[in-house]
Amino acid sequence: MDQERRRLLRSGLSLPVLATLVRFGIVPAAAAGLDLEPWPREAFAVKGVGEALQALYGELARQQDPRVRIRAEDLVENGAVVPIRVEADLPEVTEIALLAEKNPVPLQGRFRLASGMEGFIATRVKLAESGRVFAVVCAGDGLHVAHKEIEVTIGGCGG
Amino acid sequence: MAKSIKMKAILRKGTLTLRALIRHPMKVSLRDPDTGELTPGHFIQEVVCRLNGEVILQAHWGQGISKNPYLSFRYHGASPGDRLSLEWRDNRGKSDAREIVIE
Repeated sequence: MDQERRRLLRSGLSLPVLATLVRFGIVPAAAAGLDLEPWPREAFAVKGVGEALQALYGELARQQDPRVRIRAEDLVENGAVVPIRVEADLPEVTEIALLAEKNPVPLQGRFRLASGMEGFIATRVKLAESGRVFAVVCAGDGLHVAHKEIEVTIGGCGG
Repeated sequence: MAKSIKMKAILRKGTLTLRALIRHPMKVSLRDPDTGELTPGHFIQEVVCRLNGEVILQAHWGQGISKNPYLSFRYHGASPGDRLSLEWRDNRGKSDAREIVIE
Protein backbone atom coordinates (compact mmCIF):
# COMPACT_ATOMS: atom_id res chain seq x y z
CA MET A 1 0.00 0.00 0.00
CA ASP A 2 2.81 2.35 0.86
CA GLN A 3 4.45 1.79 -2.50
CA GLU A 4 1.17 2.56 -4.12
CA ARG A 5 1.05 5.83 -2.23
CA ARG A 6 4.61 6.68 -3.27
CA ARG A 7 3.68 5.97 -6.85
CA LEU A 8 0.72 8.32 -6.58
CA LEU A 9 2.88 10.97 -4.99
CA ARG A 10 5.38 10.66 -7.81
CA SER A 11 2.61 10.77 -10.37
CA GLY A 12 2.38 14.48 -9.67
CA LEU A 13 -1.20 14.58 -8.42
CA SER A 14 -1.79 17.94 -6.84
CA LEU A 15 -1.85 17.87 -3.06
CA PRO A 16 -5.50 18.90 -2.67
CA VAL A 17 -6.48 16.02 -4.97
CA LEU A 18 -4.27 13.65 -3.05
CA ALA A 19 -5.66 14.91 0.24
CA THR A 20 -9.16 14.16 -1.01
CA LEU A 21 -8.15 10.67 -2.09
CA VAL A 22 -6.65 10.15 1.36
CA ARG A 23 -9.79 11.47 3.01
CA PHE A 24 -12.00 8.97 1.23
CA GLY A 25 -9.63 6.15 1.97
CA ILE A 26 -8.63 5.66 -1.66
CA VAL A 27 -5.03 6.38 -0.79
CA PRO A 28 -3.80 5.47 2.69
CA ALA A 29 -2.77 8.41 4.81
CA ALA A 30 0.93 9.11 5.17
CA ALA A 31 2.50 5.98 6.52
CA ALA A 32 5.78 7.72 7.20
CA GLY A 33 5.51 9.94 10.26
CA LEU A 34 7.83 12.72 11.34
CA ASP A 35 11.34 12.07 12.49
CA LEU A 36 11.76 13.54 15.94
CA GLU A 37 14.02 16.55 16.37
CA PRO A 38 15.76 17.70 19.55
CA TRP A 39 14.34 20.60 21.58
CA PRO A 40 15.74 23.79 19.97
CA ARG A 41 17.63 25.16 22.96
CA GLU A 42 18.99 28.25 21.24
CA ALA A 43 15.64 29.33 19.79
CA PHE A 44 14.22 29.30 23.32
CA ALA A 45 17.24 31.19 24.73
CA VAL A 46 17.35 34.26 22.47
CA LYS A 47 15.55 37.49 23.35
CA GLY A 48 14.06 38.62 20.06
CA VAL A 49 11.45 37.32 17.62
CA GLY A 50 13.89 37.71 14.71
CA GLU A 51 16.67 35.86 16.50
CA ALA A 52 14.33 33.04 17.47
CA LEU A 53 13.22 32.64 13.85
CA GLN A 54 16.83 32.75 12.73
CA ALA A 55 17.67 30.00 15.24
CA LEU A 56 14.76 27.85 14.07
CA TYR A 57 14.76 28.41 10.33
CA GLY A 58 18.01 30.13 9.35
CA GLU A 59 17.72 32.24 6.24
CA LEU A 60 14.42 30.79 4.99
CA ALA A 61 12.49 33.56 3.20
CA ARG A 62 9.71 35.19 5.22
CA GLN A 63 6.63 36.99 3.96
CA GLN A 64 3.54 38.48 5.50
CA ASP A 65 0.63 36.33 4.37
CA PRO A 66 -3.09 37.07 4.85
CA ARG A 67 -3.79 33.34 4.46
CA VAL A 68 -2.37 32.92 7.96
CA ARG A 69 -4.87 34.04 10.57
CA ILE A 70 -4.47 34.39 14.32
CA ARG A 71 -7.69 33.98 16.27
CA ALA A 72 -7.47 35.54 19.72
CA GLU A 73 -9.17 38.26 21.73
CA ASP A 74 -7.94 41.83 21.09
CA LEU A 75 -8.06 42.58 24.79
CA VAL A 76 -7.33 40.05 27.50
CA GLU A 77 -7.61 40.57 31.21
CA ASN A 78 -5.33 37.75 32.29
CA GLY A 79 -2.07 37.37 30.39
CA ALA A 80 -1.38 34.03 32.06
CA VAL A 81 -3.98 32.22 29.97
CA VAL A 82 -4.61 33.57 26.48
CA PRO A 83 -6.47 31.21 24.14
CA ILE A 84 -5.03 31.42 20.65
CA ARG A 85 -5.52 29.55 17.42
CA VAL A 86 -3.71 29.72 14.14
CA GLU A 87 -5.38 28.83 10.87
CA ALA A 88 -3.27 28.65 7.74
CA ASP A 89 -5.08 28.31 4.46
CA LEU A 90 -1.97 26.92 2.79
CA PRO A 91 -1.02 23.53 1.35
CA GLU A 92 1.75 21.42 2.85
CA VAL A 93 2.00 23.12 6.23
CA THR A 94 4.91 21.45 7.99
CA GLU A 95 5.24 23.65 11.04
CA ILE A 96 3.57 26.46 13.01
CA ALA A 97 5.47 28.60 15.53
CA LEU A 98 4.03 31.07 18.03
CA LEU A 99 6.02 34.02 19.35
CA ALA A 100 5.25 37.03 21.56
CA GLU A 101 7.52 40.02 21.06
CA LYS A 102 7.27 41.33 24.65
CA ASN A 103 7.84 38.02 26.45
CA PRO A 104 11.22 37.40 28.15
CA VAL A 105 11.33 34.24 26.03
CA PRO A 106 9.61 35.26 22.77
CA LEU A 107 9.28 31.74 21.35
CA GLN A 108 6.29 30.11 23.01
CA GLY A 109 6.19 26.95 21.02
CA ARG A 110 6.65 25.34 17.64
CA PHE A 111 4.40 22.61 16.32
CA ARG A 112 5.84 20.27 13.69
CA LEU A 113 3.11 18.69 11.58
CA ALA A 114 3.20 15.51 9.53
CA SER A 115 1.58 15.20 6.12
CA GLY A 116 -2.18 14.91 6.63
CA MET A 117 -2.24 17.50 9.38
CA GLU A 118 -4.33 20.58 8.71
CA GLY A 119 -2.62 23.98 8.96
CA PHE A 120 -4.29 24.55 12.28
CA ILE A 121 -3.27 24.64 15.91
CA ALA A 122 -5.04 25.85 19.04
CA THR A 123 -3.47 26.34 22.45
CA ARG A 124 -3.21 28.80 25.35
CA VAL A 125 -0.21 31.05 25.86
CA LYS A 126 1.22 33.48 28.40
CA LEU A 127 1.70 37.14 27.51
CA ALA A 128 3.91 39.25 29.77
CA GLU A 129 2.47 42.51 28.48
CA SER A 130 0.61 44.10 25.58
CA GLY A 131 2.27 43.63 22.24
CA ARG A 132 2.32 41.69 19.02
CA VAL A 133 1.94 37.94 18.79
CA PHE A 134 3.39 36.29 15.69
CA ALA A 135 2.30 33.11 13.97
CA VAL A 136 4.92 31.75 11.63
CA VAL A 137 3.81 29.00 9.28
CA CYS A 138 6.30 26.87 7.43
CA ALA A 139 4.73 25.74 4.17
CA GLY A 140 6.56 24.39 1.15
CA ASP A 141 8.34 27.40 -0.20
CA GLY A 142 9.09 29.38 2.96
CA LEU A 143 7.74 31.12 6.03
CA HIS A 144 4.32 32.74 6.04
CA VAL A 145 3.84 35.24 8.83
CA ALA A 146 0.90 36.92 10.51
CA HIS A 147 0.79 39.04 13.63
CA LYS A 148 -1.83 40.38 15.95
CA GLU A 149 -1.72 43.09 18.58
CA ILE A 150 -3.10 41.87 21.89
CA GLU A 151 -3.66 44.19 24.81
CA VAL A 152 -3.10 42.66 28.24
CA THR A 153 -4.46 44.18 31.44
CA ILE A 154 -2.61 41.87 33.85
CA GLY A 155 0.69 40.35 32.69
CA GLY A 156 1.22 36.61 32.73
CA CYS A 157 4.76 36.06 33.92
CA GLY A 158 3.99 35.23 37.52
CA GLY A 159 2.83 31.73 36.50
CA MET B 1 0.22 7.22 35.04
CA ALA B 2 -1.60 8.86 32.15
CA LYS B 3 -3.59 10.75 34.74
CA SER B 4 -2.16 14.08 33.67
CA ILE B 5 -3.64 13.80 30.17
CA LYS B 6 -7.22 14.25 29.04
CA MET B 7 -7.88 13.59 25.37
CA LYS B 8 -10.98 13.85 23.27
CA ALA B 9 -10.88 12.85 19.63
CA ILE B 10 -13.77 13.35 17.23
CA LEU B 11 -13.74 11.74 13.80
CA ARG B 12 -16.01 13.30 11.22
CA LYS B 13 -15.78 12.50 7.49
CA GLY B 14 -12.20 11.32 7.85
CA THR B 15 -11.08 14.44 9.71
CA LEU B 16 -9.84 13.80 13.19
CA THR B 17 -10.03 16.66 15.67
CA LEU B 18 -8.07 16.19 18.85
CA ARG B 19 -8.51 18.29 21.93
CA ALA B 20 -6.14 17.59 24.78
CA LEU B 21 -5.54 19.00 28.24
CA ILE B 22 -2.41 18.26 30.21
CA ARG B 23 -2.15 18.91 33.92
CA HIS B 24 1.21 20.62 34.47
CA PRO B 25 2.38 23.72 36.44
CA MET B 26 4.34 25.24 33.47
CA LYS B 27 6.38 27.46 35.80
CA VAL B 28 8.66 30.15 34.36
CA SER B 29 12.22 30.77 35.54
CA LEU B 30 12.29 33.78 37.83
CA ARG B 31 15.25 35.86 38.87
CA ASP B 32 14.91 37.71 42.18
CA PRO B 33 15.48 41.39 41.32
CA ASP B 34 17.30 42.03 44.64
CA THR B 35 19.43 38.95 45.16
CA GLY B 36 19.77 37.91 41.51
CA GLU B 37 18.94 34.39 42.58
CA LEU B 38 17.39 32.26 39.87
CA THR B 39 14.47 29.96 40.54
CA PRO B 40 14.49 27.51 37.65
CA GLY B 41 11.28 26.97 35.71
CA HIS B 42 9.39 23.74 35.33
CA PHE B 43 7.72 23.26 31.98
CA ILE B 44 6.87 20.76 29.29
CA GLN B 45 9.42 20.84 26.49
CA GLU B 46 8.08 18.24 24.16
CA VAL B 47 4.73 16.78 23.15
CA VAL B 48 4.57 13.94 20.64
CA CYS B 49 1.34 12.63 19.11
CA ARG B 50 1.30 9.39 17.18
CA LEU B 51 -1.35 7.83 15.01
CA ASN B 52 -0.90 4.05 14.84
CA GLY B 53 2.67 4.56 15.99
CA GLU B 54 3.64 7.17 13.38
CA VAL B 55 4.47 10.65 14.63
CA ILE B 56 1.90 13.15 13.33
CA LEU B 57 2.81 16.04 15.64
CA GLN B 58 5.91 17.03 17.54
CA ALA B 59 5.56 20.18 19.60
CA HIS B 60 8.46 21.95 21.30
CA TRP B 61 7.33 24.24 24.08
CA GLY B 62 8.97 26.84 26.25
CA GLN B 63 7.81 28.70 29.32
CA GLY B 64 5.30 30.73 27.31
CA ILE B 65 2.65 28.00 27.16
CA SER B 66 0.03 28.41 29.89
CA LYS B 67 -0.34 26.30 32.98
CA ASN B 68 -2.35 23.12 32.32
CA PRO B 69 -1.68 23.29 28.59
CA TYR B 70 -4.39 22.91 25.99
CA LEU B 71 -3.66 21.58 22.53
CA SER B 72 -5.92 21.03 19.56
CA PHE B 73 -5.15 19.91 16.02
CA ARG B 74 -6.85 18.37 12.98
CA TYR B 75 -5.70 15.44 10.91
CA HIS B 76 -7.12 14.25 7.60
CA GLY B 77 -7.26 10.57 6.83
CA ALA B 78 -7.97 8.85 10.14
CA SER B 79 -10.31 5.88 10.52
CA PRO B 80 -12.25 4.30 13.35
CA GLY B 81 -10.05 1.90 15.27
CA ASP B 82 -6.90 3.99 14.77
CA ARG B 83 -4.77 4.39 17.86
CA LEU B 84 -3.91 7.96 18.84
CA SER B 85 -1.33 8.60 21.52
CA LEU B 86 0.00 11.68 23.25
CA GLU B 87 3.21 11.79 25.23
CA TRP B 88 4.85 14.72 27.01
CA ARG B 89 8.23 15.24 28.62
CA ASP B 90 9.27 18.22 30.77
CA ASN B 91 12.59 19.91 31.55
CA ARG B 92 13.00 17.82 34.69
CA GLY B 93 12.76 14.63 32.70
CA LYS B 94 9.29 13.75 33.90
CA SER B 95 6.89 12.37 31.35
CA ASP B 96 3.49 10.86 30.85
CA ALA B 97 1.66 9.22 27.98
CA ARG B 98 -1.81 8.16 27.02
CA GLU B 99 -3.32 6.29 24.13
CA ILE B 100 -6.91 6.19 22.94
CA VAL B 101 -8.69 4.29 20.19
CA ILE B 102 -10.65 6.43 17.77
CA GLU B 103 -14.34 5.61 17.49
